[in-house]
Amino acid sequence: MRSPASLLLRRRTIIAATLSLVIFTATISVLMGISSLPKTMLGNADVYVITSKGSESVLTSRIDVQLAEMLLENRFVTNASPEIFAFAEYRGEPVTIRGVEFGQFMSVERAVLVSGRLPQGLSEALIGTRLAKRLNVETGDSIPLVGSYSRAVAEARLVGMLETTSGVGDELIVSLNLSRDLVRMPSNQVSIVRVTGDMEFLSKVFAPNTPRFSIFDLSIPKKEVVVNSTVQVSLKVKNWGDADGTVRVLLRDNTDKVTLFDSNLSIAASQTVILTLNHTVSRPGNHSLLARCFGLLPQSISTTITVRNPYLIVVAPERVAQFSSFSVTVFDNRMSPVENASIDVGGRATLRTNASGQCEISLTLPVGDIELIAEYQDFEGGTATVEVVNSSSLPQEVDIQVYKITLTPAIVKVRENATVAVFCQNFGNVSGSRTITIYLNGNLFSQRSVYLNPLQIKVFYYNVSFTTAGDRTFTSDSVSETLRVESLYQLNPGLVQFLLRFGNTGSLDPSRGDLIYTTAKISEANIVIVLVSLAILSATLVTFGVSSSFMKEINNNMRIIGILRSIGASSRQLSWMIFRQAILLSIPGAVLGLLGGILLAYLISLSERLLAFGHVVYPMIDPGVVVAAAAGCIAICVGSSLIAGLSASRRVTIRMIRGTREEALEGPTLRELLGEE
Amino acid sequence: MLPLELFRYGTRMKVLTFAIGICVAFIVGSFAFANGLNATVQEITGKFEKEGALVYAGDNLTSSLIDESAIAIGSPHISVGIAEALLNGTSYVFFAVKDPANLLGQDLVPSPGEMLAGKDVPVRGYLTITSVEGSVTLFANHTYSSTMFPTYWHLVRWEDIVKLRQALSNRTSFMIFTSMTDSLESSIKAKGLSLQPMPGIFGYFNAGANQVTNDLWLIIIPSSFIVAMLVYSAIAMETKDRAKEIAILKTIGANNGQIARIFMFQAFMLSLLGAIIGIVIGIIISYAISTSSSVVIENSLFYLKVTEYSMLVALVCTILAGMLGAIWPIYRASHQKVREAMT
Repeated sequence: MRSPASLLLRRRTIIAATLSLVIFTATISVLMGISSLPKTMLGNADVYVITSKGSESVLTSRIDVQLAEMLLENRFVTNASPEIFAFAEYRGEPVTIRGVEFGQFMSVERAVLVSGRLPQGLSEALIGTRLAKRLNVETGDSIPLVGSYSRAVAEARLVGMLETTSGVGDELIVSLNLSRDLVRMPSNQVSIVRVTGDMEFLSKVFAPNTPRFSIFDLSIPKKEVVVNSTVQVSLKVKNWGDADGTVRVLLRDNTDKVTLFDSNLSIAASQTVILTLNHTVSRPGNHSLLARCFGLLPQSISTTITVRNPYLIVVAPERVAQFSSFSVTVFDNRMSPVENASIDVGGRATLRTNASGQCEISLTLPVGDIELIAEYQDFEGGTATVEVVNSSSLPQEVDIQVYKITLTPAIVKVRENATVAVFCQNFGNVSGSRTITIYLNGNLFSQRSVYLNPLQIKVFYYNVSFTTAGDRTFTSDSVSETLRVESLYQLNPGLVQFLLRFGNTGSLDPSRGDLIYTTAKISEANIVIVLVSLAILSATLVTFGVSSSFMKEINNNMRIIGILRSIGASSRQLSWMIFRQAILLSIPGAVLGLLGGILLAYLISLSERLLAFGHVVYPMIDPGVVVAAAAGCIAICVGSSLIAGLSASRRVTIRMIRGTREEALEGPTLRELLGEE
Repeated sequence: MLPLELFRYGTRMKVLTFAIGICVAFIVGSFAFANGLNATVQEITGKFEKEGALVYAGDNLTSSLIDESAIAIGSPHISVGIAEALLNGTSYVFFAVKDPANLLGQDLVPSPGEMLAGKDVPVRGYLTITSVEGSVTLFANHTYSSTMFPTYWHLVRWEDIVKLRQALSNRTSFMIFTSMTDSLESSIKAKGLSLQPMPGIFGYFNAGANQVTNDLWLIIIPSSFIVAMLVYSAIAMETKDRAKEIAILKTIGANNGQIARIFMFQAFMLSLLGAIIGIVIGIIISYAISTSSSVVIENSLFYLKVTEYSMLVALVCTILAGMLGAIWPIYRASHQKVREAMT
């Protein structure tokens, strides 16, 4: 006797639905495993892969190996593993070969060495445990290899086995050198670089389709300027993305608290805009100029400019004879003579300069040092010390010596002019001539012949400018002075350097899983279309499978439906009954089916027998898909029972109208058999 | 006639046949996927020229020794002898080359008393190389350049490699053929030698695509199961509906076998029809996917391919599964009691 709950649907009806769902779940997880196979080849979820921009596949990708080195210098990258792929076959099994730098590779991969050691020699290799099992090799064995795309031979000696959660367990890991020999790749290139680190940041850097900006080459033409002069500040802004875009750029003098520029710049893809601004500096001191760009990758560069008041330079002899007059010249910081400047001669007298900045001093001065102080308006004063000597103490010879070299200014930018003044004087008591030799960084810079009377001075002026940065030391006799030449551009920070060099060379992808497919010029989309089609077919046939068994069951119990109808059950009551029974039956059925499917997928996973291109395909269970499948299965069960039940009830009722007693006792088919229909 | 009245219950049978068709289409489509992959792989590898093969004895090059006079392979080839030896405390591979037919197009024989270092390990000076079997002192002042050999192997003269490994006096470690024919390949394999075709991408792709083909059992088994289930429910419904007809047939003298045959034939027809429909749908779907994906995705080399073999497999599997699915309901129907069926 059946319980009322299973009046129309027997419990075993659900077996078919459960089995169908088991198969569907397993099939879907296998299909999902196939579609995600390439991703597992490239590593764990938090590993990003950098390929060359625009390359069709990991295999055609060519990346400068320096990218990996530069990445490692940046704090946003933890590990960067340059890798090269090669392919071979051994003992009938496809073997994927990965050339690596073992240290970085092990860190990126988080692989565990289960036996042996890390390779040291160039021909030594590691092998994934799964591949080792398939090839039936162990540590100490050697595997002969041939070139992937051309003739070449090599051999890899296995020194260790590694285990990972990614597809690397199906690969042979060799040195970069060995893999280069196999694929004939130049020594400065690799196929891909896999990185771990600040992925949010890296994904901003390597996203070629979005406009991205960097500022660089912040420059001022002079290192030192006087108050209220105008300097030209320039800054370059580059969009190294593949799309046009707008970026906010700010340029500010942090000392004067003046914003020079703050606005949005529209820059076309791959274009550079040069921003040139005039800036008048008012306050003396070191001014810090800050350039900043906002957006995806905020960056800032700063530089300093020295602002000082104009100043005076006093050109005077080193030594003068008592009771004889001498001449002093006053220049400003641009080496122009200053007229009407006052010169205080050791507090004894104050004299004024003439139009050519000169002043003749003919005072009676005591033997010893006298300080000359020049002043003019708001210029910073200039000083010079003169030694007054008794002319009889001077040696009876020609003694021409360089006694001072001045550099104005002492720090310049590349291509900025500086004035080198070389002072020489005849310290002897006899007139005569001498060749003055000036050296620049130890090399001959200038030779000048000079004829000087006793204690007469001569100043040689040179205007110099340099095209490269660095220190320049001017030397003559025992005097030397160093001119610092600074780069015109502020040194770009590491990140900016990196962006400029590699910002447009690579693309980063967490799921750049196209190794296998694009190898064969098959895009991932193709595979997705195929796999989705197979999944739809699979779902369709599960629908048929489940619904056919439920329909069969309802069909079997048509007589009961007929009886129920005849004793007055309404369509609604019948529907509710079928609905309730179908639900009660299908929920545990669906749960069992899912569990069975997951178990089956797990068993397939464990067996490691599902292979594609040398890599084990692990079925993937997606919770969303699983829940959807269960819900779908329940809906199909309920729907198909309702449809079958209702259509059956209609049929039976019609027959009942025709002959209630006969139908109820003997069923409908006898009439057909007797040919009465 | 009773047995052939397939669609007596109209919609139900039609739907079931169509369902079997879908199932078969699934098998055909999966095969088409694998076949397409294979075909694509063939097309790709076809772009590479086969450039010969590496031939060695045993499992690896280091231990391989070939007695060339004994195997008597006349085709021109390069003979290479290799030995592992210590140099300044580090183990290196040393090799010597015999290339009588000048297949390499370059002279890879150092001057007497000299060796040529690999580019990646450019050792210099008078060097004593020591192996288990002996030692030799050679002068190294240059590196060699060859795309054939690893950049960390050192090149020596044949007479020097023999000092490091005496077996090479009348043997070869391995041979490189720069062209390879099928007959040569089979004669080499017949002599028990291992052969790796060059470049390696051939073997990789072929072996890789074979693995995918081998995975197809995972598609066939569940699909066949569902076909069996479909046929089971179809025949079960049929026998249930026709219980009285069966009873009457029995009353007029039909035996169990005759009854079973009638329904077996029905199950067969159902599966066959389903299979044919499925194959047609499968071909259409595969063609549609191929066409649409090559329209949607530029430069796609990938396509689905339905072969005679895959159609045959689908047909046979479906019919077998259908018959299997029908066995139980047919057994029950043929053994049912006439009296019970009639009441």
